[in-house]
Amino acid sequence: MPQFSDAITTSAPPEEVWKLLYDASRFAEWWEGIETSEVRDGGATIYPDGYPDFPMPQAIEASRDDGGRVRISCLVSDIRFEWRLTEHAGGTRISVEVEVPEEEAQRFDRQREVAQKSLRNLAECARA
Amino acid sequence: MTVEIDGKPLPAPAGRRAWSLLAWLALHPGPQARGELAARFWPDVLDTSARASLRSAVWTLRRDLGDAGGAHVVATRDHVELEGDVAVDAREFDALVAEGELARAAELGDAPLLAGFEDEWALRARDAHRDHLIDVLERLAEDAEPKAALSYTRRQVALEPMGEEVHRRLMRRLAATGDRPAALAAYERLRERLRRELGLAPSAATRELAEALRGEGASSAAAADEAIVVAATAAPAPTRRLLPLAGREAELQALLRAWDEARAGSGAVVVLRGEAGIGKTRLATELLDRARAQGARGAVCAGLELGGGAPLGLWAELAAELGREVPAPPPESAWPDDLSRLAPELAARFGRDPAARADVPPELERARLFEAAAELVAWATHDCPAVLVMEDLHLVDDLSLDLVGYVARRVPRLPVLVVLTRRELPRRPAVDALEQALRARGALAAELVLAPLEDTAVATLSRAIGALDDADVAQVVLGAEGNALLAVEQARALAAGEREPPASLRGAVRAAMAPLPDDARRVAELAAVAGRDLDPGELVSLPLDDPRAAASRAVQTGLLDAGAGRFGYRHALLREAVYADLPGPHRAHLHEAIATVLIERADPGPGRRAAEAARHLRLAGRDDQAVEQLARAADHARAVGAIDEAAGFLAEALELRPEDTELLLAASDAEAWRGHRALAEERFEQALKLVEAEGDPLACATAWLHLERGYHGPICYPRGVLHTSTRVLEILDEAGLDARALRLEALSARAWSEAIAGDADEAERLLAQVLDLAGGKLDDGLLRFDVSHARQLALIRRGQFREAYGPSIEAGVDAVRAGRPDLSAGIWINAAAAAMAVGEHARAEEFIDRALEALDGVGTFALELLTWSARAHLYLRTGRLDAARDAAAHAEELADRLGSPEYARLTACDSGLVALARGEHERAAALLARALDGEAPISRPLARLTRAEALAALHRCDEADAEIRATALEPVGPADFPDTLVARLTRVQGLVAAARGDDALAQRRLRESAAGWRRITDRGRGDRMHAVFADFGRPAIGLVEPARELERVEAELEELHAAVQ
Repeated sequence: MPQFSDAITTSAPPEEVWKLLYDASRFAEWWEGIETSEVRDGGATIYPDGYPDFPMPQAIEASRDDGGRVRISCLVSDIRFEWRLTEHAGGTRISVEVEVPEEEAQRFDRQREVAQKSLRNLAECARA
Repeated sequence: MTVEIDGKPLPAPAGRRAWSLLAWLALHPGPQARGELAARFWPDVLDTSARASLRSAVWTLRRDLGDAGGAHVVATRDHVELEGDVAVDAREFDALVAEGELARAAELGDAPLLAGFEDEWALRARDAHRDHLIDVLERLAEDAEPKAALSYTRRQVALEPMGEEVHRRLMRRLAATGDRPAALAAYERLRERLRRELGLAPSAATRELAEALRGEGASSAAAADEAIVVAATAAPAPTRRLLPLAGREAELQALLRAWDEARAGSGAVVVLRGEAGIGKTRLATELLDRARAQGARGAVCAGLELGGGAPLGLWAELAAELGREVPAPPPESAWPDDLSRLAPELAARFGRDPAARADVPPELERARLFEAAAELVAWATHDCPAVLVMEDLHLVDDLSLDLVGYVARRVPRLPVLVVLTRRELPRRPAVDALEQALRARGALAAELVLAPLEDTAVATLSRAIGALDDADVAQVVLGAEGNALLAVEQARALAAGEREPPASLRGAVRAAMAPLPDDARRVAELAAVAGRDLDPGELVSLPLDDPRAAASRAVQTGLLDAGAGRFGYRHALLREAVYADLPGPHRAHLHEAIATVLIERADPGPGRRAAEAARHLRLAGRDDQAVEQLARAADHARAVGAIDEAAGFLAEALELRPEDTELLLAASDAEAWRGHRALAEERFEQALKLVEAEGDPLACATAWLHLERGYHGPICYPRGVLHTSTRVLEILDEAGLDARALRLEALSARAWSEAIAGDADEAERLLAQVLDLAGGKLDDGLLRFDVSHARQLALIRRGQFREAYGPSIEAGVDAVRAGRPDLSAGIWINAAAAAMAVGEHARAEEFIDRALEALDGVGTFALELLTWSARAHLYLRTGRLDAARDAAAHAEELADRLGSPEYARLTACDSGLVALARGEHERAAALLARALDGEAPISRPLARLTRAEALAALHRCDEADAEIRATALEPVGPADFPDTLVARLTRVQGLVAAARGDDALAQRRLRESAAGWRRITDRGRGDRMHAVFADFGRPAIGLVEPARELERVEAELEELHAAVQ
């Protein structure tokens, strides 16, 4: 399965980045290409820019076994983002690993761009 | 003997004769004629030489006593006398008796007189003192109330273990208290001791008393016949005769101090360390003998030198030995039944019927056995103190070491001293870890390292062996290099007429064995090959014409010992030396002979000697026969909860016979119990290939069911259960087989997997199929449990909490009836969680009570702990904070008993939550720090946030911030309720800001938190409960209640707002 990873460092403390990552209602604040997001009955749904009637439910998993990563999988496209935070020089290093299924391979470059911008947004948002 | 001058102890003088002379003078006040003294102490030399030796001894004595010597050792031309202000405890004993101060006399005079002195006069004085003391104890007993009288009488028996009169007194007094079984047990011990050590039967008077106690039992004529048979067949065996304890006075005093503390009720553990042959056993024996003389119980057990023996072998031996000594416990106590799995002889000894018991998970079996062993030690000390000697810890199996650590936690509250001996090398990390754990708990009263003996001590020891001249003694001192065993063997060789001491222990042993006739040599060789002492039954089963006579002859070499009902080498090094001299083929032949004895004498069912038999067979090159014994050893290990060892035996058996389906499936089961899914699957795949090749669909379905049980029970892998149970049903359908029992099990397992991780509705449909197939009635109790359990889980999953009560009650009752209190307790706690979820607190408490009722007396502290933890959460949730504190404290006590760091952290977390609710912020912060200091089945993010809250309340804001940051870096799982964490963390950030006085930030954070809680609904509560169950192995007592959380945050906001205003 095609995959890539990226990372960024921010001066924001880990807990502020963490609050954005774990709160699906705030995804739109930093996730590139997401217009709105909502949380209902414990599940998260995002709506892409320009597609207010195209809900994309997300599965947010947190697993104790793989080093505290937050895994957000799109249940429509099967693209999976794994985010990980580590403390770094008084701030936070944010890493992301993205898996794109074969059938979505044409979106690979676009997803790389999304990840890069989202990382930047997340770092800035947390600093605010 | 100890000497003090003005309260200061004096070291023993170099000259043994001088010391002996002092003892004589101390016991015999007044002038002693020189001629008589010289003749007494030097009887074999001319009068002039004897007098010269006396002069020399007096001079040595006065020198060694320093100023006091001149003052008190008065020597004239004709007499020698100990004069002046000299206090002698033995004489004081006599004076107290004369004054009628019997209790004080018995206390003062209870140690053996002149222990370690082997002169004829000293032996007679010791005997006379013992008789005198027995008289005193009897006079005390006659005037005492029954319990104290028994204690006095037991001391008499300890002083005279083969005395018939004292035993009759004990039997009568036990019978008078209504404990006739104990009276008869005392008789049996005497009878066995006389038979074993003297080859005699008890006298007619004693037999008649036993018969009278038996009442309508066996006729006295039969008893008399038996006595004659015993007397006629038992060859005499020499009684044990110890060499003097030389050069270990300081160590002995340290041991005796620990013993004094222990018998006063503050028990402890002592470790004796030192190289082989240095004298560890001799020192422990000295303590044991002295303690027994004071009326204490004693038992000795040792690691197996052969290696690879049965798990818990050390404790099996100890249990059997203590079992012979202690009175029968009350019929209602459960521990003898549990312990009988380890030491089957206990069932007969205590008159128990070893009823078949349900198989339970290994960890539960182990927990029961551990607790039963602790109960045995407590029972062995309920009426008198005890010394337990555990020898050669470096050879002991890991599980036995764990049990030593477990029991040691109770020891400080019991009148017992546990003496552990070990060699320094080879290093054994598990023994080091045990010592470290004991040290950390303050349970180690002393750690004694036995250094090489001083030359004077070696000389003393050598002279005690026989008549050696100074040159011989000097040779021994030079050659032994402070090693007691080597000194004794070299001295023995010289005393036997060897011209030169052997250069090595092996040489000395060879010299001792040389004159033995064939049968005696053979029995000595078999004992060397056995690797441990043989019991009387094993001895008489050896392939010899008259094994007892042969053993008696072999004992005369001095290499072997036949005391205390065991036959074996005096020391491991002696055994090793004999073993090393055996030619290979002969050695193999002897190993096979020992294996045959062990197999022929094995109990039916899994035998604890099977592992040993397997080891002998492998050493004999009989791998073909070893496989069966390894399989039996695995069964035994499994039966005592030693699943790692069981897996090890099976792996070894499979190396010898790789294509054995039964072994492969048993190995798959064992790996599943160890939680090794991949290994369990690998063994199963190997077995499946063989089974499929045979083309028997029923065997195939049965094999699949093996794996299903592993997934269902120990591994807890619902997807695997779904796959395997489906496969079983497919195979049966394809082959058109009815196999109702297999179908029922597979269907109910499939229902369980759907209930816990799949489709709850599908689970209900499958359960209906189970009932339909069973004709509406399930006969098998465990199957009924499975069905009700699956139904309970399905209902909880769907949030139908009240509806789950009915199946919960059915499952709980069925589990108890099927002998599985562990399953029952789990069901009741699930039910309590369901009741809490709908706010029915009284019902929840009732369910928790039922869980505790199911576990009562089972000895499963881990389950009890989880139940008390659930109770603490229930009380916390309902605001009964004192009760919550008590319940959490009880759980902490149980964690302490278990000695499990993980459970200690879990209970610290519970107590921390309660402390915070009670406003005890310092305590909460400390407890939660402890909870977070390592692995534990707790929600770490939630524990950190709770600690941060406590720190904020203490205005330790920087620490609170650090805890919040650490929360963000913790791994998070479903059981941490990730969707609620942001609202929680933001609230605590608000509290920290408020503590810093930053009201604006505090209000902002609290408002953010409130907004977060408004977005969270309480739907999916059943899934939440299952998430906690899957992550921590227990349900959440009290689920997240967003409305309640919101209410709290809003109240805090309001309070802050009011304060700002």
